[in-house]
Amino acid sequence: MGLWAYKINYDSRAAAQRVKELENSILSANKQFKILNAEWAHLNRPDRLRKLAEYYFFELRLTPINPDDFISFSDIYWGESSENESTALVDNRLTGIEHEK
Amino acid sequence: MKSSNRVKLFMDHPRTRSRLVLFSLMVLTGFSLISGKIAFLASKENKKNISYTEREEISSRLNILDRNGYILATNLEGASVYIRPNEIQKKSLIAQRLKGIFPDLNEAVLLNKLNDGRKFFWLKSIVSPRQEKALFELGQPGIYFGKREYRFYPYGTLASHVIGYTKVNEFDVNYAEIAGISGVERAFENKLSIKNPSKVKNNSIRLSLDLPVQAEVENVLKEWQKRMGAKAGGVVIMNIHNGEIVALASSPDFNANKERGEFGKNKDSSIYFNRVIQGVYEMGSTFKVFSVAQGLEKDLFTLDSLIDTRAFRINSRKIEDKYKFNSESSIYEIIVRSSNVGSARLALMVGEKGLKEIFSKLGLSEPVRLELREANTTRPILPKNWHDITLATVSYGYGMSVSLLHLAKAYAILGNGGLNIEPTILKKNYTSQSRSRVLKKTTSDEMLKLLEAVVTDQRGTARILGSKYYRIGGKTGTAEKISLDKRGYQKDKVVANFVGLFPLQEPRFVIAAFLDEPENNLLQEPCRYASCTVVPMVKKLIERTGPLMNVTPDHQALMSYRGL
Repeated sequence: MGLWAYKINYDSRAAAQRVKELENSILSANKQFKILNAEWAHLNRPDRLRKLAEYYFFELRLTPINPDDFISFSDIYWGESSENESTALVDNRLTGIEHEK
Repeated sequence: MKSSNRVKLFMDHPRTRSRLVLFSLMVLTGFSLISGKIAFLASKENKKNISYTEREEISSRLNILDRNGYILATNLEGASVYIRPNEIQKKSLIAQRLKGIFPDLNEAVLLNKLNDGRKFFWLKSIVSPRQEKALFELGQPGIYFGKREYRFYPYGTLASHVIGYTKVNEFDVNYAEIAGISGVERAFENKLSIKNPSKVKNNSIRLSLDLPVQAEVENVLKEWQKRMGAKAGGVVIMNIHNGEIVALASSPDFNANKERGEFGKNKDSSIYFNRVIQGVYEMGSTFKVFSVAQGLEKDLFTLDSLIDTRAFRINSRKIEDKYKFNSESSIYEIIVRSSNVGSARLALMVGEKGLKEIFSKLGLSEPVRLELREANTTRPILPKNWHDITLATVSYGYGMSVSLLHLAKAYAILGNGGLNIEPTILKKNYTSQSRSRVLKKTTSDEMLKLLEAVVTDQRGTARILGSKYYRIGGKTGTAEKISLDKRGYQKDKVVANFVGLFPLQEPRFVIAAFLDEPENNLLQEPCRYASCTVVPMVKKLIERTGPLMNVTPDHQALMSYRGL
């Protein structure tokens, strides 16, 4: 019985040690996560993005969102097959083939 | 044989027998006590290990997020660096190396500190992880690190007046207490500051601000302030149904990241002043709509009623207009073309009691109950006595000073159907605020018509606000600034402002903007009126931020823009 108790004691100590290690790694992962989040936010500063959009304008053609970018439902070409298939819209807008027809 | 007999004899002896039993009992008890203790120890929770994480807990601070979840303020771990000079041997070499890591250090001063016999000094209140690593790699005894958390604002100057900034209050080698000094950081100090981070489930405060909208507003405001040569400016956009402030910008602003050091202090304190919330100004013609609202509320007149608009005198002071009006004008025209005489007549009809009533209903006679402390301590400046001349001047915005936020709130109530709202900086659920009625629905409807006419009428003071995308309504205001000796007004220095509501087919937002001492020199003649300084800025603001707030363009706006 003494031996059994002795073994349990050591097992529990080992388990506690493992818990400690895990908690430590969770803590450091959390810290890392926090820093990465802050860094990501810092990289996404609106003034920086604005400059980048200007710099890469010819590649990306990004412009600020404009009221003209809204279109009404009646302006949307839904395709000939089905009126409810929204995927057709995306394909058409991407390829532009349907519009040319 | 002999010996076994002797043993038997010995065992048969009654005394020996009982001694043996006693001895074995004692041994048994001893063993059971020891194994009992072992079992007890093994089964017991080991407190020392479990409490490990508690020792790691240091006081921390919650994140501040915008309404979309973008991080506006967060706490990061860093380190402070202190030095014990008596543990350092080659002092000049170390000073040189430290200068390599921190280019801003003064090597001579540092060397002096190392040599003057002191036992301890702070090198840096906070260092970046990269600098910490470089210091660590020096492998130099005598350089120590203290554990620190510091406040980081990823977007720098963005929304700095709303978020506020923090300062390190008390600090020691491994302890530093961060305290909010202004804005949300101060207003929510108790919520933000936490002692046991692991026990707090919700680790952020979510504001009503919309980061993309805020960024666009600040961008346009700064550009326009520069273009108009204005000293300062401010813009606030608020939801008129639940009082959520979507964007609030005050220029000039500051970078809160630079305020965190306990040693650094910015010399120019005016940059911390929140001009939208703390600045009270005489607003000029934007006040004219209030006496109209009160008259409509009490059925004293309708928008078509004709009012005498000839110049007149009150106690030898002449009330007159800059532009020519007919001898009688409709209230519609008085507001659209902004007549001081007409407005003064209306105020006299409404009377002292009426004006005071409408001001109190719209929240213009007390501080705005926003969560921020800056708002709670900003009292409007009301006239001391309400003679006829005061009634007249107050009706067109002189003799009474309020903040831009006051105006935004008052116009929000005029435009939302007449329901009271309290501006808030926190994200709320649409249904959470139960609102009491302060104005009749019909009054609000009439006011919206009137405000739209200021924009759509060809003679309106805000006609250049006519947009092909949105139906907008609002009122301009230009007030001369009081001269420095407080005896009269300065003709060449004005505060120009505009308060508007959009989209008018279903009003959702109020926008209030002002520029301090603007002058538009891009026209044939220099112009200081709101109609040529603030109004073009507001048009740009609405057309830029509208799409970001999911305000879809209105077909009717396009028709009326083309004159159809």
